[in-house]
Amino acid sequence: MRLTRRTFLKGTAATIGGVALAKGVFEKTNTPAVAEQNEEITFTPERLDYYPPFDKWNNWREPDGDYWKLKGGALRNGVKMINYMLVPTVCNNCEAACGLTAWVDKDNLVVKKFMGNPFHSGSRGRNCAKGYAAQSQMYDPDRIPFPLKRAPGSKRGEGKWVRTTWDEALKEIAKKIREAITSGSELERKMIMYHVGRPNESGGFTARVVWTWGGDHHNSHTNICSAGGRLGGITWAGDDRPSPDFANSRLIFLSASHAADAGHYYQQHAGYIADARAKGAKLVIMDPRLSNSAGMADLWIPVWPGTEAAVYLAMISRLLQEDKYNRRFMERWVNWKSFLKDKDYLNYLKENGFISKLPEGETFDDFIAVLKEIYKPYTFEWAAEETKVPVYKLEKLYEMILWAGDRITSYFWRAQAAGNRGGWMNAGRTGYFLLVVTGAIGNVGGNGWHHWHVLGVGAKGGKATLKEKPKPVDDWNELLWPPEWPLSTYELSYLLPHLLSDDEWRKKWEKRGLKIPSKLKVWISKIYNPVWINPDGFRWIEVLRDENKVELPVNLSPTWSETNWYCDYILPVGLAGERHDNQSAETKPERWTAFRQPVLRVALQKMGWKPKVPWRATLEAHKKAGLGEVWEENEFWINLIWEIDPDGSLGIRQYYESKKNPGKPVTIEEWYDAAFGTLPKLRKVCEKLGVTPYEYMRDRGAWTEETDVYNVHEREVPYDPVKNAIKYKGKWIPLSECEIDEDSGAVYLKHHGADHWHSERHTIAVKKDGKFLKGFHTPTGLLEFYSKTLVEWKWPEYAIPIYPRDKEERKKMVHIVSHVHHDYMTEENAFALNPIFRLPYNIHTRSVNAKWLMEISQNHNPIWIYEGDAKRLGIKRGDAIKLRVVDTVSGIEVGYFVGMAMPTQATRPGVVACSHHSGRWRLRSTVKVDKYELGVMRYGTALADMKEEGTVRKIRWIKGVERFKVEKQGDEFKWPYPDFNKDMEYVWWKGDTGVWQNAVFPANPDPLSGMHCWHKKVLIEKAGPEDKIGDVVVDIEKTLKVYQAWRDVLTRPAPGPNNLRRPKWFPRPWYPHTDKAYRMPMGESHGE
Amino acid sequence: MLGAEVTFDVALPKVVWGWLVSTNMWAKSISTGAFFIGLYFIKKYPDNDAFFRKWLPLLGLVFIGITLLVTILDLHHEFRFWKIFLFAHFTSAVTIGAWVVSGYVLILLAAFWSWVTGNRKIFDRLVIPGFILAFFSTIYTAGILAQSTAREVWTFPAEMISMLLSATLAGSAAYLIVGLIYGSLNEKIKKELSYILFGSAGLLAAMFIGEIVFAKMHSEYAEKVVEIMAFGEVAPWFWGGMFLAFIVPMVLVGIAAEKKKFEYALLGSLSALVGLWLIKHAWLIAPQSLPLS
Amino acid sequence: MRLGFLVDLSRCMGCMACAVSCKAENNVPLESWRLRVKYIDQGEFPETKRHYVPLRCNHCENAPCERICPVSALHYLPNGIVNVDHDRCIGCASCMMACPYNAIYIDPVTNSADKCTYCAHRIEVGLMPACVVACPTHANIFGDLDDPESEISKYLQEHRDVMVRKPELNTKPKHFYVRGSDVALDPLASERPEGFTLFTEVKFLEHIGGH
Ligand SMILES: Nc1nc2c(c(=O)[nH]1)N[C@H]1C(S)=C(S)[C@@H](COP(=O)(O)OP(=O)(O)OC[C@H]3O[C@@H](n4cnc5c(=O)[nH]c(N)nc54)[C@H](O)[C@@H]3O)O[C@H]1N2
Ligand SMILES: Nc1nc2c(c(=O)[nH]1)N[C@H]1C(S)=C(S)[C@@H](COP(=O)(O)OP(=O)(O)OC[C@H]3O[C@@H](n4cnc5c(=O)[nH]c(N)nc54)[C@H](O)[C@@H]3O)O[C@H]1N2
Ligand code: SF4
Ligand code: SF4
Ligand code: SF4
Ligand code: SF4
Ligand code: SF4
Ligand SMILES: [Mo]
Repeated sequence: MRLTRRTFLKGTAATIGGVALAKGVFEKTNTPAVAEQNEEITFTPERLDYYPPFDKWNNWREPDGDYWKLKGGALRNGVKMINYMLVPTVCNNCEAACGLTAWVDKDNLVVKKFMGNPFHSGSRGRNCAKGYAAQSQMYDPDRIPFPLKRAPGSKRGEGKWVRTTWDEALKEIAKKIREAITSGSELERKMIMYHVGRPNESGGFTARVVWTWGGDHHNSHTNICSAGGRLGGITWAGDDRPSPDFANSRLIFLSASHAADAGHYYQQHAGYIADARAKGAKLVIMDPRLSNSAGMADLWIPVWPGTEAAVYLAMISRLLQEDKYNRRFMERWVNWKSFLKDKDYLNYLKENGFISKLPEGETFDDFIAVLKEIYKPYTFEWAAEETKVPVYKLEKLYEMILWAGDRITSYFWRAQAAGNRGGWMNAGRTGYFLLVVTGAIGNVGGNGWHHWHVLGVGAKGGKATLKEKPKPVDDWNELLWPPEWPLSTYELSYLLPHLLSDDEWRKKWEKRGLKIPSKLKVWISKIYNPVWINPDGFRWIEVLRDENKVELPVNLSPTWSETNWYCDYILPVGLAGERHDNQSAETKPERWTAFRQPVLRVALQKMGWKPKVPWRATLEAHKKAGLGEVWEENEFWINLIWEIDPDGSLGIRQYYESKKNPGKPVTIEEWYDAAFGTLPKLRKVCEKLGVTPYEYMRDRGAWTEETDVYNVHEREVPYDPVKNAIKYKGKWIPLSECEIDEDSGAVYLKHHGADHWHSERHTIAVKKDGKFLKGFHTPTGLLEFYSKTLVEWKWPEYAIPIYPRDKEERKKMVHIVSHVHHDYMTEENAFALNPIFRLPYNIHTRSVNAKWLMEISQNHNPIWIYEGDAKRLGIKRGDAIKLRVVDTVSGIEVGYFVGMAMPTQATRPGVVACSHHSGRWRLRSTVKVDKYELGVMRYGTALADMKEEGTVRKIRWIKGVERFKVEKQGDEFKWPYPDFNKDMEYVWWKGDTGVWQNAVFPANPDPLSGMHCWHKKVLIEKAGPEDKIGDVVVDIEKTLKVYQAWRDVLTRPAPGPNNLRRPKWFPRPWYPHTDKAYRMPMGESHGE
Repeated sequence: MLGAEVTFDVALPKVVWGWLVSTNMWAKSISTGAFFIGLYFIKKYPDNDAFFRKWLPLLGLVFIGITLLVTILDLHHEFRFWKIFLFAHFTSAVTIGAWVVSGYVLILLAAFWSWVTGNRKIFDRLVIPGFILAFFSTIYTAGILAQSTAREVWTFPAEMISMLLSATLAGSAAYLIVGLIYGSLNEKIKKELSYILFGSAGLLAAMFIGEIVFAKMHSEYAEKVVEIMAFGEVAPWFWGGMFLAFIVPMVLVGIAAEKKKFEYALLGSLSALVGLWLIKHAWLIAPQSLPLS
Repeated sequence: MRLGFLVDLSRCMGCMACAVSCKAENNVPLESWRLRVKYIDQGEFPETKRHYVPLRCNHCENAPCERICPVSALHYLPNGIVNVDHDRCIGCASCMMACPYNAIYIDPVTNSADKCTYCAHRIEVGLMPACVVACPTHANIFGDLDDPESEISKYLQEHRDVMVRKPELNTKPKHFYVRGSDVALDPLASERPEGFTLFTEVKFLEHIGGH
């Protein structure tokens, strides 16, 4: 394994290239980006650089910091140089996909540290604490070193495990999947489910795998995350999130915590926000809690949760009344004509008292006149009353808006959108309206859109296989898309156990011709811990434990989790530096893409090592390097496909059969070479350098295809006057196959009455001034102030950005009023609970395997309560308090949890807050498997006692974290890394002051977006002598009833027009479905 | 309420130097005090010096031995103490202290030898270097405390005087105890020892009270330290020490000297030694109770 | 060459990337921090503020820790860094009594004193300290104070609100802050109540080192 320098160099000859580092990486320093060439060490270097020069990445010598401190360095007992190879990869700890470099010590094949990647233009060589903590995750003493299987004869959850092999797992899983596929039955196919948390791959590698199985198999986690944040963007622009140009904006107005805590593209966005502020930009944070962002902002708006629309509409109202709106932008890009033309709708507004008369004409000025009337009641005083924010703060905000002009950025994702019923209206729907009115869309310092900038190619390796693209699928799985939520932006994933538990519901829809499975044959989850992070976790346990409901639950997870405790297989796939993915994110007005890699494998291969079985190279490399039997997803899936369809008779194998080596699986190199090869500019550079796209990405890890991507909606769509056709996604579409909407200019495909039903439209361009422009992905091709689609789906009252003006209206428009609105806080001790905020150094449930992150966070999540409120209730710092969870739709009290009270000035009166990262638990501290003793999340969880009494479930902490000595176990691998873990004896935090609040939350699906509405009404009292911090008591029958109430009282189920299950222009994520799949079975009547 | 509160911090070290260091200072006071006081009486009453020629080296060695023992025990690398001689860094009061104490130990050994062999000249020739080394052995700790820049209450001249007074207090108390137990001291000397003890206690008490009243003028830090000492978590040690080290001995020893009831002096001396430890400890701990950053 | 540090507190967001990168770079064990980031909440609702302040060794030009170390385990390097030598250290903890900034601790694994070295080993090959590379907001600025062209020198020239901690002690820190405040830099300007807080358990360690 150890090679001479010479063979190593031979292996890397191809990597020498000279492409400049990404622009902006070192803009704040006056030193050039590369370290001096001098090999000698010196106390007084001529320059100080951030990263070594690229041409030395394969062979970088640097003194060992640990040795330095022990021996006192160069003046004392000397230095030890480490022979590093820098292998780029991508951080996996959040969606930002920042670049990493693994600093591999070539002499003993360990990763000494992770740092950033200067080639990554989004992250600029920088990382947050979680990025650096990747090393502590990699060498976590409690990680799982080989595949585990539930011990034969034991029950799920009993905690008995045996060691198994990847081959056995592949065989058993493949057999079940194959059975379902060969059955030819749609119902059987629906029993195969892949369920992913945050995939951290772009372009859909895994989605394509699942797609080739031929059914509707792909479930995600998204509706506990961001469905509410997305619906606002979709209804405005057909795109689900903004891509703000933070760095160039003047006002950063966030209802989020991107500036310091979290946010989708956390540290990258925070860095751009800091850059903007250094240039004079102002930061405003709207949050009931003092987030770290709010703590350093120029203005904190401590709004009552779910009333944000009032702030946006008050600003808009003032801008309109004072004629400060951006006329140029609005007139050109808002669908005001369609609105003014729809007299039925205008009449509807009149009948409901939003306007007093219909507008006289159909000009833009008439539109403005209507707006002025609609929004007039939304004054600052009214907004202050509704939001409980003092008027002076609103005045300040308004001044900043005027000052910033069209350079205002924002982000709508979680916050109010995730916390509240109607969050979508309170976030994106009214929030983007403010951006539209100021014209801050698409411009420098304004907001682009997700699709403009993201550049995922993960699924585009098909050219390397015998067959490139699977066909759209016919199936529609109601376990993913129950008919009650036709406008949901993603799968109703968190309802899976509820849907599987609810026979009545299934039968009701079966009567209407739908085929809904009552169980799952295989459930494969990846990067997902639903038991813990979803609401109603005990219901998940209930269903996962039931072998009649879930025949084979499998978890692809490198670490222990509450969920894999209840699975049959735990398959340890690799962490950030141990697997292949392509990942990109729209973190700035640029299109970059990055390559996650198993760094030890790359290092080994560069040093001349060759795998025996090329399509299992990562597993082989990890064994070779002593990491254990740790595989990666990509190769796992390819091998699984070959197990499912070994002879190709099912027609699935061909999608992963190598073109280069027919009859053999495609290799990672072939796949990603083809995938990255789809980027024209990258290809060109590679030709110049004489490397393949795969090699380029392997060596540098990131590529930026295009910079300064602004105003994409204004870009022209190619038009060929001879063919009379326009080019759309690489194909010429004759205009004869299209229709053009006269009011908006939208060019859409002729189809199922698309001229009448906006829900049927597929718009491919917008005609403006005789030119075809890209426009927006909506039925009108414009930004939709007025969404006719919503009218067609029986939600006319919410078709324009709107908010109830008084208590009466709040009762009528209940769907967009928060379920924790202050109207509902009728008791003395009633509070709104904000259970959604991130800590900058935690990542959901992924910190429990990183000692450095646990040391900071300590599994501690106290209840933030305003000091005044605490005093009123006689609550002191550190008191145990009981939070009884009460549903405001059904009135049902489902249970309670006991947390530690933390009186503070950092949350608003009436609203308490509790972070979700902590309150983690384990049922055992170690398990004996084979000859090994595996630790189970010992330093990040509390040891728990779980009890069942009828339908009531309870959990209580027995003790907190543990100190332990890490000793070598066997000679098979380096795990559990005693060298790296000498300090586990000094674990000093307690770990038993957290609480698993999610377990007490019933599922509360928003009637439109499908978002789980996280906030809860709670009644707070001091805990009794019997109660202990960490206690959870919940009745899972009651939580089910609450869910049913939300479903039955609030939703307006499918079908929509033409029997549609959802608007055709709301595409199904992951992979395409046929038109047939989109429609409910005909012949039944579903009218009102 | 300051209106500002730490909401995130890592765990910080608190008491860096604890009871071992208090014991070090205490034992050293006894040892060097025994030297000073013994020397004084040897010089003043050359005809009556057998007692002191015996007990000076004995008390000196035993207590300097304790000092050295706890010093080494307090090192996190007990077996590396020799480095202080090999890699001596002479800007450090610790280094100087180590060398000075080593010299002092040699003197004491010589004194011991002088007593064992009855060769008085050995001792007599070492009087001046002995005095100098004992003097510096006592005050180098003041140097260390002063070099402990972080603890802003400790300033050199005040600590130095305090150390010297501690020595005379401890030395006189130690001789009183030994002398009373063995009954081998004449009344005059007992009385004189009592007055030394009385005077040292009085002056030392005044020093401490002075610090308490005036230390707050050094800095905000010192003020907080004094608060902690006088009213905070360290107060029981401090006031206990004040009472036992100064008040009780002054009263008892005063009674003893005036009324010639030297049983009282025995109690007073014991009380002084116990109190001295307490007050040293309080004085050491209090400035370590505050976050430095 | 005089290497110095500067933190622009208006840029710092309290993310602790620096603190964790330092742990990785220098194998700093649990319970110990060469660099820590402190949060301080100030003011009353709705005008509450949160301050973040990264705290590491100042590499004082007149360093009390170096002065008191009996064996020169703490010593100056030619570039102004105050360096540590675990093999030399006898563990007397005098330096901890001397450093007015709490920058030193006893490493529980090696039992020797340890503190930030400005990543002296990386300087040797011309690389920035790990925590400087990490910082997402470029709040950490590092370089040669003797070189008027260095970013840090320019920063110092261009800002009028340069502060150091406890200037009155005359330690001459080579670690500066701009846009700081008393609340952030003076430990006595805020309360540090022991026990659990919003984020963590604030406490003093019972043990110092593995005694
Ligand atoms: N450090 C860190 N970063 C992360 C993650 C992580 O775990 N850790 N996770 C990633 C993921 S998966 C996601 S989805 C993103 C989410 O990132 P964000 O979209 O920023 O969402 P949250 O952190 O849920 O909430 C942001 C803020 O909203 C506030 N908030 C809560 N309720 C309300 C309300 O009703 N109204 C208003 N106005 N504010 C409210 C919270 O107090 C919080 O400070 O972060 C990503 N980045
Ligand atoms: N109360 C409350 N609950 C919340 C939220 C909230 O704000 N408040 N936020 C919600 C949001 S936005 C989200 S996105 C979800 C996130 O919840 P999840 O999607 O479940 O995400 P994680 O907890 O990050 O990761 C889940 C599991 O993935 C496994 N894992 C870790 N690293 C890897 C890896 O590298 N590879 C693989 N294959 N597996 C790995 C581990 O088993 C881990 O437990 O939580 C939601 N839950
Ligand atoms: S922001 Fe996210 S992707 Fe970037 S370093 Fe931090 S955890 Fe990793
Ligand atoms: S990394 Fe930078 S922003 Fe983060 S805490 Fe450290 S100095 Fe502040
Ligand atoms: S800050 Fe403390 S440790 Fe650092 S040089 Fe100054 S005195 Fe020494
Ligand atoms: S503990 Fe070590 S580094 Fe500190 S003063 Fe003592 S010998 Fe020097
Ligand atoms: S300069 Fe190096 S040793 Fe000092 S705090 Fe930064 S990373 Fe740690
Ligand atoms: Mo999320």
